[in-house]
Amino acid sequence: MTTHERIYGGLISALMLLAIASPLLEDEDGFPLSTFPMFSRARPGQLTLAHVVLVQDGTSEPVPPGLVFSSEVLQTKVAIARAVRGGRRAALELCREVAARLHESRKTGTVEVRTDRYHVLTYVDGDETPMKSHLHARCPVTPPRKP
Amino acid sequence: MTRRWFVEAPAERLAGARILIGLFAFVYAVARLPHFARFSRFDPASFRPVGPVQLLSSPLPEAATWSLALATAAFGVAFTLGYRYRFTGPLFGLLLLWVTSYASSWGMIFHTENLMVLQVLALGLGPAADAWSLDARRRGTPSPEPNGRYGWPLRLAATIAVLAYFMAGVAKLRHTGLDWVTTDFLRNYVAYDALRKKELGSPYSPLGAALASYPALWKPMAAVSLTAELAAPLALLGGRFTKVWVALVMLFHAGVLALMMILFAYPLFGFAFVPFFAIERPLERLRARAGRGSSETRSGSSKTPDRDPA
Repeated sequence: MTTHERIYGGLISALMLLAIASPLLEDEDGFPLSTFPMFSRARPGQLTLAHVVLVQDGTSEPVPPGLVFSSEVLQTKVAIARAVRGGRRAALELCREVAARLHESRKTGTVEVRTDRYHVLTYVDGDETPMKSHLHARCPVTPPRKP
Repeated sequence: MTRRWFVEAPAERLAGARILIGLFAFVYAVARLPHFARFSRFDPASFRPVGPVQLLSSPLPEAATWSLALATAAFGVAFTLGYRYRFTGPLFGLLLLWVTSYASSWGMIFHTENLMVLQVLALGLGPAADAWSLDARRRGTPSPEPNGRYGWPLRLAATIAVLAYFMAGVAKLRHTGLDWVTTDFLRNYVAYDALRKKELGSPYSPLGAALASYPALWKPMAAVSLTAELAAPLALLGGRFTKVWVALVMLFHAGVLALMMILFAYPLFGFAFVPFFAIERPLERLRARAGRGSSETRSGSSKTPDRDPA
């Protein structure tokens, strides 16, 4: 191994390892340099969640994220929250988009965009009723409206 | 220290790591092609660039993201086969860094990808195509002797894995302290995750939700997980330390999949830990079994140092 190769390998190694360890100083998450904070922050005992549900024959089931925005669930969560923050019109627009996709999937019923609050441990114990619920938009599953 | 870093390794060991890690990264890049290329539905206002993407002030047009994602997959083939590696090795690392950073630039960071990208970069900057590659076949020279130049990229990739897990442990202590182990933290976390996924219509773990009703299970699981992360540096000692740690971390990822439906495929299937082991030995046995290799290169097993690389 030549001196040149040793310097190159040492330099690359030192630079990469220092860069990878550097987020520790600022406690700042990023990509690809990260503090790897997954599973490190406490979750509250209650969850307030904006989501999209399909109501059919008196029962409601959440609409899969792929039919709402993206197959990535957390990206979909962000998109729903943005629509809710955007007010009634933005929520209704999202509602209609989802209703059109559900129609293409041969589903029937009513779509609701709503924010529900749950008690986490009560929910996993079997009581899935929300503690509190707020409806932002409701629309029937129908074909997409022509522009 | 320097001697341990530049420990002699056979060229086949580094090449084996290149092939396995490159193959994973290539398959990942192809399987996740839409994830890396399709961003037209995203609101430009939610563009939050991370890593090298911070060079951009606004999102790229979709033609550019598709081109970059396809180029990444194509260079993944060259990386894995060791074709023009001095050029394609670093370039594949950089392209993978770019497309993964871009995908993480929309408000959600994909922590499942960090380790793969960093290890591909480490291998791409080393001489990982001096054996078992199209470059080596084109040169037609005998396979090189073991050398420190084949040791440091493996040592670097292994240390990157150790550092990632150790930092994850430090993050838990920093944000939650020992409460992570001594309270219902983990139980509540898994229950919260199951609830959120279920109510967002995503696949969730019924097992995690069901076990959340048994509080006694969670503190021991939290203790084992945190110990595995904080003990990561011991894996660099080699021998049993490495084997036990790797087994523990793979078990941890199996638990994360079973209880939270989160797949960290790269470490769960062992690719992240390839740089810790004399991977050329099983690969040579596979080659021998396939009836190839004996006439192409000298047998690597005779040149393989007995000690574990880690």
